[in-house]
Amino acid sequence: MSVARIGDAPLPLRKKQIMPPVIRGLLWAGIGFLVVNCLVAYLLDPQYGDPFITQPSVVFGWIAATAGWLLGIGGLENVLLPSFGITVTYPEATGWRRYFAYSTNHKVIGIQYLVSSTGGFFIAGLAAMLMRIQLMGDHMWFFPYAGQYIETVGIHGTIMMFSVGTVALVGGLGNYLIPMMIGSNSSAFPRMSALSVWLVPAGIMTVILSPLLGEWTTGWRGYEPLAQNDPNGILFYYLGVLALTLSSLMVSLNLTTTILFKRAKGLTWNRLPMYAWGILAVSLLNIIWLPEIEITFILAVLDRVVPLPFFTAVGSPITYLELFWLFGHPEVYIIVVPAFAIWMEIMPVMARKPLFAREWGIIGLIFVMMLSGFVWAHHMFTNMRLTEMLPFSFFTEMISIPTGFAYMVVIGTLWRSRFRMTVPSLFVLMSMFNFLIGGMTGVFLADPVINLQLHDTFFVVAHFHFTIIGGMVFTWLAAMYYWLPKFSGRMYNSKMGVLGAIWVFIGFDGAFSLMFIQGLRGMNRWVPVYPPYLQGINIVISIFAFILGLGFLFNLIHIAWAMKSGKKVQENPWQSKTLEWQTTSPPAEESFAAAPVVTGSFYDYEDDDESFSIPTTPGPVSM
Amino acid sequence: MAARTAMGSAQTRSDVESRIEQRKMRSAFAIFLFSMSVPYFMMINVRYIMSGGFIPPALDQTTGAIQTVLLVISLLTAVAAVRRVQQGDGRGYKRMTDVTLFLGGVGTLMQGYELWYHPLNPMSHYGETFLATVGLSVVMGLVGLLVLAAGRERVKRIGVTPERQLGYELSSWYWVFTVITWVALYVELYLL
Repeated sequence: MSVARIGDAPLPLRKKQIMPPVIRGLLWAGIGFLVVNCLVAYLLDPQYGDPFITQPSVVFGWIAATAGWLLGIGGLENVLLPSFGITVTYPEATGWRRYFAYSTNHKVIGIQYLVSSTGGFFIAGLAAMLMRIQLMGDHMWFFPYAGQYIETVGIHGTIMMFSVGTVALVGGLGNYLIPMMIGSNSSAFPRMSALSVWLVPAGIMTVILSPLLGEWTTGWRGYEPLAQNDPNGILFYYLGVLALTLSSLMVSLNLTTTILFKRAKGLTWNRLPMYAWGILAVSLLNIIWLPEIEITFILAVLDRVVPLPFFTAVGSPITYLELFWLFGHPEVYIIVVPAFAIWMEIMPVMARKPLFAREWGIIGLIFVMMLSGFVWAHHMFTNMRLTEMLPFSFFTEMISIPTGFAYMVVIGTLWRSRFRMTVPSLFVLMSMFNFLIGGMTGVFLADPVINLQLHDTFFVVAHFHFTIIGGMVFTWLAAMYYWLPKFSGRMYNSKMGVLGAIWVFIGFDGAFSLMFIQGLRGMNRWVPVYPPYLQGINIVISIFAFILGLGFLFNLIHIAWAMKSGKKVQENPWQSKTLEWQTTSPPAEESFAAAPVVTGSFYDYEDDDESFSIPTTPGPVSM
Repeated sequence: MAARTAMGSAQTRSDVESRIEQRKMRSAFAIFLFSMSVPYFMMINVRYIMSGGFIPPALDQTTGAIQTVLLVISLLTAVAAVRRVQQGDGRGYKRMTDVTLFLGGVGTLMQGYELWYHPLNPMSHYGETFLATVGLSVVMGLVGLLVLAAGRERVKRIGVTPERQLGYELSSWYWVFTVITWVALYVELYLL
């Protein structure tokens, strides 16, 4: 093919970074916000009294700030200018600095996602502790106003769901592990991931700063027209979640393509690691449902900026609920499907036995993904006729069957195995126990008669915490302990690990199992002060919640300590057969010096044969 | 792209990698477009939830028809640009993209005009869905024009090379996607 040059490429402009990328990003974000906010507030759309912040100005200011942040962090030199054909030399950060800069290394990006997610987890956890402090009293004693308590609940839920639940196991572990697990040295679109990761801190900060615009009392669902009763804090809820979901969407596009097209030779579909199957399933859910909720939130923003009263005034309030829960229930499976896959990844390694009924495990993941789009309306039974409820009730109960496949695969694998009770396996077993409670109470709630009685009570709060924390967060901890030697080349302290596991298990199950009882006794959600008959149990729950919070902190400190100062271990301490363990620990810049060739199953632990080979000299290959 | 090399039927590693890379990019682009089509399905669905099949008599049919014709012509020029770049003709790609940018820009401006000087009450079921749906198309159109402009500048600065060819193609195909979605919206908003 001929090369046609119709112009000259400009010379490189810069050889040295002027300031740290994060500082530059913050500066450009600040400048972007100020300039565009003032432009809109004072020139384009001035309002009575010339307020500095108006609803349109803050929205456009936020868009400019986010663009400034992304460009400042490195998007200008690495994405924007090259797309216009302008080549700029961008000095790549090295050492610890690369974790605070634009990087195309999938392992660095994975760590960046994990750190952001962990930050979000502890910020949202702090909000939860503040809520529990308030609920220990019988009057407004910690928060002066009820709205502040409810806003804290909303910030807690929003950050947990959108920066932890949907991010840690997908953007974090997915970016780090998936390319290595499929035998690739990079993801499909490293530049996209390099940028998308920085939307997470932007989104978290936006939600945290939302009280500056006034309180919002809708919870993590941003319900319209309820939000119309509040001042403007809800705008930063919508915009913050928009940034977080955009990040997850970009991750999903990247990881889907990576799994489809970057697999090593011989890595056929029936050899694909379970975690890769889980990420593929969850990515498809993200690709379908995230644009849907993003448009819903944009419509809600337009109501305040234009206004276009889609869900208020002449609009239809129920439409918001429908559009939200169309996304909202697949969201639950976006969170837990990777967790199921990690169970099936860790347990055969610890059991030293082939993965039982692997095909059924994959079928389970795919059917959970598919059925998750048919259950959403069970969140709205109070707004529906009985005939409309029944199909959703049916599908909600049916989804427990493919979910049960994950249990069947793990239990079958453990049966008569040489099981090693390690910290990761302990966390997986705890996760399975907790999710079982969450899942079974979900089947219970799927029944319309029960649902109408327990709707919006703490029974529901307990149910979804057992699925989300019990299912996903415990698995996240299992994964962190399991892959810790891979991340760092070091091992955790077993006694400390077991202590951390038992600590959070007692704290978690103590706190949330009591909430089932609270719900059955008629304790509704979204209320900062309850009648005296509920106060005793609330105090006990708060104490368990503080134990849980400290337990998570203990595990964080232990993992951080182990990564830095833990005992050095061999490169594959679990004798796992999956490809990520066939690299050095921690992995080099290029994980594989030569592309591996997969020759067998990763989950066949009955023999000691290798499931892969690494050619020493690359040569011609055929397709 | 030719799969065979001078060595005969055996493909070299770089040939295979190049083909995989092309397939990767095209498939990822298809997945991206599938994801981007979700908002359109949603807005069409919402329109029928909110206002059924009602079309107000005050709707400016002429402006809607003219902008649609302009955008459809820009679709043809975008496809022509793809053909040029596939032949390695950078100048032809730039020329066709210039025409696409002009026609697409005018069509998008006319959509903006409808948003600004609309004869509809935004506080009505049809009005709010019309404005939001056209607004979605305008935003996607602006993104498409930006992508086309980037492709145009890129080809001007660094020309067409086999590695970069697909990027230019996909820029134009994204514009084709925005026009096709607009035609679907036009039929839905103005005719059905």
